[in-house]
Amino acid sequence: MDISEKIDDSIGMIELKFKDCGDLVRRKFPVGEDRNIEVCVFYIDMMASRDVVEGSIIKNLMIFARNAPPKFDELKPDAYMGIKDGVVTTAEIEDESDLDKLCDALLCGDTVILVDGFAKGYVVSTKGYPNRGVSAAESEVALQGPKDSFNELFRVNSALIRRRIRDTNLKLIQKRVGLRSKTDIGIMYLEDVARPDVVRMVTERIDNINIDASLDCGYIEQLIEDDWLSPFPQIQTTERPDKTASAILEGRVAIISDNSPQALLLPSTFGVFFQASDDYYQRWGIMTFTRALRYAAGCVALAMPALYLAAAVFHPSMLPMPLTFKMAEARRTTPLPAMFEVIIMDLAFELIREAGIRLPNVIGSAIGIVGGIIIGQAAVEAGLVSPIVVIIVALTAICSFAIPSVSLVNGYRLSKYWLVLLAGCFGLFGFWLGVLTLLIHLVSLKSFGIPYMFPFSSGELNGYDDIKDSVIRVPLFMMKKRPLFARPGGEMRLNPPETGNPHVKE
Amino acid sequence: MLSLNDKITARQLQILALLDIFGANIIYLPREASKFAGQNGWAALGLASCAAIVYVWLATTLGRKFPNESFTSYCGKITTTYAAKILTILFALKIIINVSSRIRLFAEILKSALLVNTPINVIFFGILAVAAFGAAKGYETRARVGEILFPLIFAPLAFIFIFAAFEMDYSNLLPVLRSTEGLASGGFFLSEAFVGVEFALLVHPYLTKPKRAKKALITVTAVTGALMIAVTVVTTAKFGAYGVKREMWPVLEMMNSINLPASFIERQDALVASFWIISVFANVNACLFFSATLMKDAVKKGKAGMYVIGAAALAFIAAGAAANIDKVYEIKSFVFKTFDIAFLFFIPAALLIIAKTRKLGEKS
Repeated sequence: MDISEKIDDSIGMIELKFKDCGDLVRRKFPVGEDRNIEVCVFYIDMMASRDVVEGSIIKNLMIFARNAPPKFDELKPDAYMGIKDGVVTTAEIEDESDLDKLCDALLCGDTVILVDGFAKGYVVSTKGYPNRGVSAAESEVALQGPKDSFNELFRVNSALIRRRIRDTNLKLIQKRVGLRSKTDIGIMYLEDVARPDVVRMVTERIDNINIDASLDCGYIEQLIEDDWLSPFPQIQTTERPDKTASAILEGRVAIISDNSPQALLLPSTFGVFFQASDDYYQRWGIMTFTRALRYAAGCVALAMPALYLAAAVFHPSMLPMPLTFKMAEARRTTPLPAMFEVIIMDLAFELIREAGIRLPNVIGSAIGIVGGIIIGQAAVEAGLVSPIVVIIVALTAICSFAIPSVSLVNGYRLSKYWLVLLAGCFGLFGFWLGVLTLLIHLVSLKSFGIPYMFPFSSGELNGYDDIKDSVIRVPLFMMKKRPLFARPGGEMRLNPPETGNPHVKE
Repeated sequence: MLSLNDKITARQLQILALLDIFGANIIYLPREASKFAGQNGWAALGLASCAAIVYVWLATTLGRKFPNESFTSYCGKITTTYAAKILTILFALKIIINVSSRIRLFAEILKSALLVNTPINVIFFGILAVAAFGAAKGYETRARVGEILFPLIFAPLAFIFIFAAFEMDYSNLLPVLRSTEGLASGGFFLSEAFVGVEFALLVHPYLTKPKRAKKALITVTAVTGALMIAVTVVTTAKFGAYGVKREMWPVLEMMNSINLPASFIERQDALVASFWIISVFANVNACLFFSATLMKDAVKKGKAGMYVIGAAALAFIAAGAAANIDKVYEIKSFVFKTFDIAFLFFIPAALLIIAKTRKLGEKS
């Protein structure tokens, strides 16, 4: 529905829409030397920047528009354009006649100016929500490299990425998701590097979202992922702009969302969840070692409790005698079967972890002490669990913390119980059956058309080049090609000179 | 896009073929080889490898003539539709009987080495359920699983065998080939271990470049033969021909006797048996996939997943049907002498001759 030429009617229409909305600010006043043109300014308190509204709009309309030549009489035939071109001093200003769109603009933090006698209004960009500024990354700490992280403001997040990739090929497709939340969503990619089919798929899936509100990018992740049944993440999340920029430079697509201090990176393969941003900021030798250590930690986090059960209950003869005796002695007084012992201790740890996250930092560390030392020690002394089980669960936990991606660890946390159950019932045979089912599941997964286990399987697709950045990380000058994420023709990222190259013996 | 188009590369085919052929056979193969040719069992296996290469050549030459067609389809063109359907169903049933005997032997090994108290039916069910899950996901998924499993299986085995090779008494292999007794019959009967190469008749429609199948499969059959010979040589060197014949699972026993440096694992046989679980899975998975595909091609109704479940159910029943291991060996021997050899040699040869005579299919 369009607004009216009569300003009072239009004000009534907007006020009716915002009935009982106490945060809507309305200011109606006359402008012109003889004060014969009525103007009304609308904005929502704290959604719009007061400095901009008062300094660039109201002040200009009230003071300068009355004094500045040419006289308003001359302007009167086209007062509407006069205000746009001569009074409002902000760069982003648009005409809009649709009532719903004007209301949407207000809800996004823009200011609406209505002018009497004209059936349209101005939408002036004045977004200025309160925000916590750009702070240091909390959940993805890096020893070397930039410290900044995304915050909840869409435009700040897009600027943090744009600042790192100053290229006109960096595109930002803006969408709105949520019938009520109308959350701004941005799809960012390098036009000449990203696969067009991936960009199209992402855009289509986001367009197909029909939900009342999207409060975090986690909503988007769950609504566009390929396989909702899988415990493993198929889209990477990050709070680091440098990691996002790096992913975009590899040909991946980033999705940023208003109100979310994280970006989604896709397509995502299993390997990318083991990568941290400072892997590329430090020298290759130590980073290859660290990368391999992370993969080993991943294996231990997934398989250790199950392997313990298989060895301790079914195949103790596989282990050296002294260790078998130690384990038998430790388990002698425990009343519970080994499988329940492991499950109970692991669940206790999960509880401690959950409690530690929810509580304030000061109390959170106390929970760790209470859980780890008091309950663990008391349970062992009471003979409820064996000390080896405590060691196994603790080692598993430490290894899970070595994996950089929380969402992958979450997948591991669930899958671990599947292995524990099978190994607890059928020993090594059950363990391998569990591993095989997980493997079949993992290799059948895909993320936006890219095989999830690439390059460990289907490595031929990119000539096995992606192995260079998997369990190992070769020196940067050897990583000449982009990963499989890049479109055909956009693979090259490093072209070392033929001569004068310090890495080539001449 | 890049995935799940159910087509695989020649390299992936090689990995799958290696996994399909190697299977659980290797655990008892040295014993069978020694039964035929004593300390020259390895030579009998060499002849068996040559026979397998002939089987592969026949199957791939035939498949190459009809690169994008299923077994049922090209059999129908060469013979008649009815004959093709009968051949297809017989082939599927033969694969199910083979896989059931393989599962039975594997379960017996597992029960003796790892799961003494577990009912054998539970082992059947476990391996069949997981293999069926994998088969239902399609051929490309099988290839990807194979790519990841390959280093998992072969790296530890290679490591252990290298140490084993240094510890053995190779005088047990002497005299070398003084007598050729049993070599020819051994070569023929031991080629049963290569029965997995029959899948060469079925793989062409799943390849991105079907023309590469012949070279890829002949190479991998030769490599598998070489691996089997190496295992037989080391096992015979350890126990001698007589000792190998006496052992139920000579390779497991050989593994158990190796002292790995800095090893904290007391019994390598249990560890190796657990790695063989993966190898057998690959073999059972292939059998279920191809038998289900064949049945679906013959019936031309329903979803592939239902046929996989059907094939797994039949294999489960058949695996428990034999009274004991001796009976399993009897069945295996009978099936090999009749159906296996028919589908490995006579049927492909006949089909190839008819196709060439009638000038059917693509020219090489």
